[in-house]
Amino acid sequence: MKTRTHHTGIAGTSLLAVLLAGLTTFATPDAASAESYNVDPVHTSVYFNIMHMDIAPVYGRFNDVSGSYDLGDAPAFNFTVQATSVDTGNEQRDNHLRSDDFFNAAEFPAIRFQSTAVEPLDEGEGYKVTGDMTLHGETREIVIDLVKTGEGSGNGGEHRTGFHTTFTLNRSDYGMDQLLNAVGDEVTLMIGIEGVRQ
Amino acid sequence: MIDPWWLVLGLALPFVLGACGALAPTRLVGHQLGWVVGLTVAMGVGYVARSGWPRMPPNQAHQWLAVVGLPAIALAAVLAGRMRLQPGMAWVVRAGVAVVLPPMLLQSYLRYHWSLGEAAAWLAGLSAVGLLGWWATLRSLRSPGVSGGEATPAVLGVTAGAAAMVTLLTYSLTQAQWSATLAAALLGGGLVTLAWRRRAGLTAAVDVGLPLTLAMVLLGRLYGPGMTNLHAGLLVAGPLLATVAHWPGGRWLLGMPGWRLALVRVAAAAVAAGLAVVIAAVQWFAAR
Repeated sequence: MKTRTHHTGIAGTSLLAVLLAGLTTFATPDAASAESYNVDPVHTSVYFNIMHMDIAPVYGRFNDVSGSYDLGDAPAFNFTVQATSVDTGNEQRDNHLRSDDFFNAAEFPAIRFQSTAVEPLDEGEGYKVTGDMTLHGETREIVIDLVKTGEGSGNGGEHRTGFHTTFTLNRSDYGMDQLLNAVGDEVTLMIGIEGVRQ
Repeated sequence: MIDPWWLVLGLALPFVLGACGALAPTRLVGHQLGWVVGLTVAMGVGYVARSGWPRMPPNQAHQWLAVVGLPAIALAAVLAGRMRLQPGMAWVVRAGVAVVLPPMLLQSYLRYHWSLGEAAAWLAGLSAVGLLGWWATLRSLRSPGVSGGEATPAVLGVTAGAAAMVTLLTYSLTQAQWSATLAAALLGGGLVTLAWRRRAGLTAAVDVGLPLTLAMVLLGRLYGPGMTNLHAGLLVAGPLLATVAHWPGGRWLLGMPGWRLALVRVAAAAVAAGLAVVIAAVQWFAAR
């Protein structure tokens, strides 16, 4: 599979990535680590926007997000989004997005990100994460800045950490090249992640 | 949203290619080759005009159909045509297509969505329905003295056209446009066949046109988020209904003049296909 590296701007880049439609076993980062976290889907959000006919941005989100990450000696991040969970607030448009004109969710149910290299940003600010982004059956290497937004104890005493990232990608790089005259190529993703330490 | 060039390369040209295939002089190209080449080239051109050159290796069902399925169907049609004196062998070839095509198009369902039992049931059912439709359609061509068989390409064209409409209304422009290309090619050849009362190569028209039409319905049903079993069932029922004159209660139709029987056959398919389109349209408007 071809790979291409995307370096995004300061705002960061990416992760969207995703997952498994039930059978994907993505490598859980060092399950034995004391710094292993599972994504809390209730407090994790994956939003995107894309231009409609070069007129105005349309916003949407994915409602089914999962994943895990490890902040130990060998940091690693794995996230999965179910393509069928796309939600732009319009059922007809969502069905079209699920079709083979766009995500082809029946054939490619999972959008996945799996880190391959992680470097710390400035002291305590987060991580520069290089990883493989799989979307629409195509895998590309991307680099994102995962900015740490906070950490602390939840209501049950469990330890939680949070991150945020914003990045862009071109959908045509992933073979989603239909209707480019109506729906923009560049997609901006805005992702907030909260994980619960295991 | 629709590229004007697609109207030329994806509709008009396939219509002409289908007509040329039906009119191809059999002394030069044989009985099968005109239809086989006409439909296959039309579908190839229509695919590239809509979706560009397919990814290699393919990783989507419509790419598999374009790269592997289409040439395989064409080859099988030529082989089956060369086995006219050994009909049993021709059916072995057709059975091969009916067995191989569904799993090739349904790889993602086999991988992600179905248990082993579901996969076995679906694949067996699809192959059986495909072969049944194939057998019934070819049988309807062969009754001696019945010129209503000349309606068969038009019957398949009407079904493919309805599949295009239903797929469009159920949110897949990619599938809709390729189905429209198939419909254009079949209707181009079908109108020529009806107008010139030309029976040459109709078996080949069915051997290529029927599996492609069923494949379009299958792709629309499984990869278009809105097409339901009801839509797909009505579409598949069209070609079967068009063989009504060969049903136990419909044999009186065989006494009709050829052109009237042809009209009955096209109308039977159009009723089922039209119903599928109307249901999809109502659902589309209701969702707005």
